[in-house]
Amino acid sequence: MASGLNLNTARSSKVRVKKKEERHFIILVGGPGLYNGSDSDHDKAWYNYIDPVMKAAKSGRLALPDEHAHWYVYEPAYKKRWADDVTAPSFFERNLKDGRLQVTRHDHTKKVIAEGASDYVDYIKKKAATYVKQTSSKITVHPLTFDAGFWTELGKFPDQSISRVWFLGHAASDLWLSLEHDSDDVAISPARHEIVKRSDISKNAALARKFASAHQPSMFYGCNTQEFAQLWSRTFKVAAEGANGKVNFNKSSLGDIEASATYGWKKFTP
Amino acid sequence: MSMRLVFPSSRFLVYLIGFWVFCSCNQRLSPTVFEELALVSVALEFPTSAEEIISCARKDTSECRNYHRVVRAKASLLNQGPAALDATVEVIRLDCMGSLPNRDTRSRAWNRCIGGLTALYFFSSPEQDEKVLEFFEKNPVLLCFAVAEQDFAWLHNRVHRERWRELFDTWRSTGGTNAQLENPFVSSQGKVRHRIELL
Repeated sequence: MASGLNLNTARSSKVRVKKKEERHFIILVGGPGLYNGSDSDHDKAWYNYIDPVMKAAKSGRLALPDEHAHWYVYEPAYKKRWADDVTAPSFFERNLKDGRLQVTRHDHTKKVIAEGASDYVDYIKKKAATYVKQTSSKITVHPLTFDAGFWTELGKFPDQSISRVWFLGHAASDLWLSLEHDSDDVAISPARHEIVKRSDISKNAALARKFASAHQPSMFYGCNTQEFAQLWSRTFKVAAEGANGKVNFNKSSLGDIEASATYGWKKFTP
Repeated sequence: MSMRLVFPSSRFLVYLIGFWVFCSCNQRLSPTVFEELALVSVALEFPTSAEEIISCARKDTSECRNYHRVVRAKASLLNQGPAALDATVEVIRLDCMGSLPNRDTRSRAWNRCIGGLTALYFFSSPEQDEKVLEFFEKNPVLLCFAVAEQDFAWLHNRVHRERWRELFDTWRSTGGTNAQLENPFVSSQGKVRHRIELL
């Protein structure tokens, strides 16, 4: 009787092991534009889109135990921003909007250097390595260089292995990996190769086989991402969520970002 | 006596109004109008949903700044009367053709090109569509560029849809365009919600 019980236990633990095969959690992190004093609404801080991910990773709540998190960081935007920020004047500037003193770009770069990093991307890598040690989680940082790379990278994962995909960054139906300003300092789209187009989802429909049957919702943290999320859900047959209207990244948690969507956070099921 | 005084005054008023209409219709269109129209596609903060657009139509707050710029640009363009389409086609010819070699560089010319392509939505009568079609028959590379760049609303409000479909297919079959590009003039297309038609 006891032996039978042991056998059953062994069998069920074997099943459990099989169920806990590593799944891949893809996080695409868009970059900031250059700091623009005339555009007080966007990219005052370089870390807007990576900070919520780092906070969640630090607390060990980013990924599930069987998930390997892959941070695809759009490197050119962070490199460009670093080169610009590192030459910023070393004084505090007053934020006229709320009257509080804001830490300048100079202090951001000083902090990065003090942590032993050579630039923002290196800082992200070092932080990720620290979180891996502290929380025993699996995180790999992949510097991404152009949008086609994102689809190519998804294609490299084994079939049925991707548990979910997240995006954090600028968006306007399409996902923007960077941001530009026009001659009137209006925030405008980056170049074509720095945009993950909504229309590219259909062109990559074959990637549906990459998603695990037991998956978590794919989340698109950016302004007006609901149409992107809806098509993502329909095409890849996974749950997906996105924002109707603007979202505010100046929030403490991912839940707060969702709650900040002007016209609501939208959920889609296939 | 009083009639003689009133009559010339009325005629003068009519002349004055006529002169004003003439002047306003023939006012030279600033190329920046097309840069403003491009905000529909390129501005980060342009209302995307019907709720936002309705909201912006009722208020003039900072988050609706780009919306109102586009509304004013549309009025300036259409105020040109028949010359508006000529100006639009000319901008596409000059600035899109000029932007093609450097598609990955954002410039004012590139914005004017996108604004010009955006503006084609306003010209959908049979005569206007004929004129636009003739332009792209002469410049099929620009049709390819437009389709590849984004799902513009004007691709879905063409009158001579069949001729557009054939033009695109012909151009594609000759290897003139990326075979991956779907023909936007096939009737099943047009699922994307556009924004220009909500203005």
